[in-house]
Amino acid sequence: MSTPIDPEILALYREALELPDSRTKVELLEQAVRIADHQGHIEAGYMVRSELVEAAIFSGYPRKAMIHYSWMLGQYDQNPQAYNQHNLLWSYKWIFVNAIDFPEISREQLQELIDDMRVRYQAAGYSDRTYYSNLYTLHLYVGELEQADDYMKLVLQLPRDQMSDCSACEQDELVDHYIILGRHEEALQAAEPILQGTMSCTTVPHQTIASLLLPFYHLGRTAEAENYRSRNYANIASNRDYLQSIGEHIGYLTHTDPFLGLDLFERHADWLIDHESALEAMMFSMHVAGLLRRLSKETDVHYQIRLPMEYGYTGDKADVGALADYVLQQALDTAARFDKRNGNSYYTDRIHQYIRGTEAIN
Amino acid sequence: MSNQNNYRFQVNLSGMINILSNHLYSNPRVFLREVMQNAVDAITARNQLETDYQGKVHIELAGSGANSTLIIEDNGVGLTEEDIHEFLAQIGQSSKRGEAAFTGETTFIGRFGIGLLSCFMVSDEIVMVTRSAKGGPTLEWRGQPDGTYSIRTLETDLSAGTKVYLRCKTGSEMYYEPQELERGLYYYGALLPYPITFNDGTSSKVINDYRPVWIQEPDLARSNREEVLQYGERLMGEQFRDFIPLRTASGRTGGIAYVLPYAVNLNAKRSHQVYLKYMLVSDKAENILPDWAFFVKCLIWTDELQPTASREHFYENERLEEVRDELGEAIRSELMRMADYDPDRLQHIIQLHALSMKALATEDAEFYRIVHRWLPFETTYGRRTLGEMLKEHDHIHYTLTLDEYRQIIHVASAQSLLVVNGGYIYDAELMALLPEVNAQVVTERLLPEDVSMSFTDLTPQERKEYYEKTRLADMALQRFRCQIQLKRFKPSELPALFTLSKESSDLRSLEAAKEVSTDTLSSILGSLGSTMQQSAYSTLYLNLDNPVVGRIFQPGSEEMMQVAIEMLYVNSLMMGHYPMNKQEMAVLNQGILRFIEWGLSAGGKGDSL
Repeated sequence: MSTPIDPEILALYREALELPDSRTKVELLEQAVRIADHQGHIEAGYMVRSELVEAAIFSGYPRKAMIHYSWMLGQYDQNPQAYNQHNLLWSYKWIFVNAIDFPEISREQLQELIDDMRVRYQAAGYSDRTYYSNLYTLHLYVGELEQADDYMKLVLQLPRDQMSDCSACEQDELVDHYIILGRHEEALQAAEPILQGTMSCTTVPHQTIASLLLPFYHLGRTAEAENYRSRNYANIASNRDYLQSIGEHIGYLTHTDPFLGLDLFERHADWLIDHESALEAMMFSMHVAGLLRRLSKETDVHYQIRLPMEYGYTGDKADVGALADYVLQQALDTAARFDKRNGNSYYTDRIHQYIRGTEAIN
Repeated sequence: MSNQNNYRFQVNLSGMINILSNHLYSNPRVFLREVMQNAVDAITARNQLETDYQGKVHIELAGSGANSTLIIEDNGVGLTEEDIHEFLAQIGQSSKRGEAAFTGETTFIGRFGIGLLSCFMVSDEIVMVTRSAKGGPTLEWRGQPDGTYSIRTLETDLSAGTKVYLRCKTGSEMYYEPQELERGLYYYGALLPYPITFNDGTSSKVINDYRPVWIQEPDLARSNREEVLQYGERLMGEQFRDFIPLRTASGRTGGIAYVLPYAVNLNAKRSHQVYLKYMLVSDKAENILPDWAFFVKCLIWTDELQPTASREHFYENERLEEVRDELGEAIRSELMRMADYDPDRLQHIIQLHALSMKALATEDAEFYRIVHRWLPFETTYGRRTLGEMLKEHDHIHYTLTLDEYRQIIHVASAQSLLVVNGGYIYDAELMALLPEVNAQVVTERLLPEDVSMSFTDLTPQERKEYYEKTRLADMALQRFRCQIQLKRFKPSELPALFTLSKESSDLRSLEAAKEVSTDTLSSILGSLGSTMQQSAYSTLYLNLDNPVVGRIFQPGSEEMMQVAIEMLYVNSLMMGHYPMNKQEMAVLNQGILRFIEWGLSAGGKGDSL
């Protein structure tokens, strides 16, 4: 029935499958997609894209993931028998959650997207649990924390099904929830099974531990934070999907070892240049701005900040204060876009509040 | 409390055995490991009672085929009746009592109860004759797979120790083959510090007849090179040519890291052969070395790590983390030492395992500094090491992606511009880090449009002359968000260079997806696209040195101008494997027809453009 797949496509596809999630993997698959499209081979295009979407999500390319997922969903609707429905619906969650990270996508569009997802889940016989769980995520990230709390409680009452996130991811979301609400003790309590290693998956415990460094610090449990820090850093340092986590390391180091924090900023600044997630970039910049403010108080140090040319800062690299202002403005500009979309002032307030918190350090 | 009654729930033993054989143990062969382990544990226990005692294990095969019986005998501590009830009758009970057996350090590797059960995978009955070193009668224990057992006292007094008798179960003949047994015994027990003898019914021999000195002192391996390589081949079945001795500071973990004689990919399974108290516990331990060290296969002996129930991994705990870091450090420092004293050897390793070396170099600036000059990269000059590049260049350009590299390779090569393809894993990162480890060099990311910097600009006279035509050409491609630049560049055979920004490339995919996707997602893609528009452009550089382009820009060609430019554009898309959208496909089709028409009306003289 179907025409054989071009050996060049297969070669790129196999080469990509041998790689861990990375830019290289994404690129090889993109190239394979391009050839498949060029030849008009839809099945090959679909096969390669299902890998591409996953690799893009886990390598920090959410926009690419959304683009290629959209293509897959369109093809699926035209010929539903030809493709695996379960896998397609599973990836839909990633697409929705990542769509929240783009301020140019409106609330109405997000609502439409989650409604479409719900209809498809229901038609396939899955429960509404995943729908509510994603609504929870939506409210949490647009700054409607009370609604988020309500949905979280609702989700926990419903039985899990095949579409539910793995239990490690769900636990991580719960930890995140408490951190955002500033309930540090509860966050650490909820994180216990993750820290013990009894719950883990692709991204857990890496992102969980990074997000716990500051709560550990605020509770005076620095020794524990130190115990996790360097190993956690090694686990996230080479994947730009963890941009926000690197930011959280910088946030923690602002208190304990600001010059190491500076080192991290210099090392990872190039991730910002073409990072696709505005939300992650904003959170990273927020932490960096706090760090640079802190460093600008060191009057006896002659700085020479190392930044890639494409970073966009053209001011004096010895003037940390000016750089701090620049970085903070970047974060605030993005925050304004999010707040406009979300219809509140949540991110602007949060950034100001964070910066005030770091000003208090001596 | 008085109302409390204690009951015991029934465990279906044959079900348990099934679970063990199908899930816990990777294959029935491991029964041999388990009986050996019991023997070793018994010897260890007796050693603690009597210091001047010499342990030994004797294995005898009687009969053949379906009538085979295997006897495993040790002169270890033996069991009293009380021991038997405690250790053999309760699954999960170890010879060391309580929690410690599962979490802390134990002297004993095995968990006696479970271990012996694995023998039911190859035998329908287990008979054990034992006498405790602490005294008491000689006992015979018979266990059945349904979970029942009997004990009787024997008249004869044996010397202290234990004998286990296994009778071949139908279908298990292969596990009783003499060669198979000998191989298995060597496999599990090669490093044991006391003799393991095997009698196959005709003759008797010591299995572990030779135990190298460097097992105790891994550093001595350096002066016993051939022997170490042969030993590796015998134990792991691979011919190695190089190795690195391993040793932790405490001396409780040591080993040999054999350098794989072939390249492996990043996701290759790491399987190291690990001996716990000199007894093999795993030949596919994955988590005992750092991730970057995937270019070696190790023999490791340790007395400080705790295997998981399947014995095929180690518990991820602080101890393992320390051991892993120390073993990684042993490999790293040996590589650094080679850089000073044995650079040829290091170069050889790097040639074969560049990926592993690069993985380490991205994490470790000091290591990168030491080895950087030997690391190979793909460049417009071919495959070059950094050292070779640095001899002639102190400014190195690199692309961030494969795609960008492919866009510029022809032009960059023709201009003798050195560009490193940063699209392969680790390469762009290493290029960005290079100035930090070598202050003499500057590296710079090259965008496809940057290549055009080296193009020759038109003279003011030419600029004026071609002004109108260039505008015309530019207009032809405006609807594709592509701009025209007229330049002169090498190679002159190349009529055009098409470059597009990352955003532009993404925007092309986005628009293709929009054409087929659902309404909801198409609308979302529209929003995403709106913020990409400004930065998403492509450029078609036309090469005035190319004869065809030269003729397009000659006076009198206005009529074909638009079609010719459009065709150069779609041709560039095809050359770059960029899928075309509907509009571009239409341009291609119309263009071909127009040219056929022109060809025919020109009288088919084949006069080229």
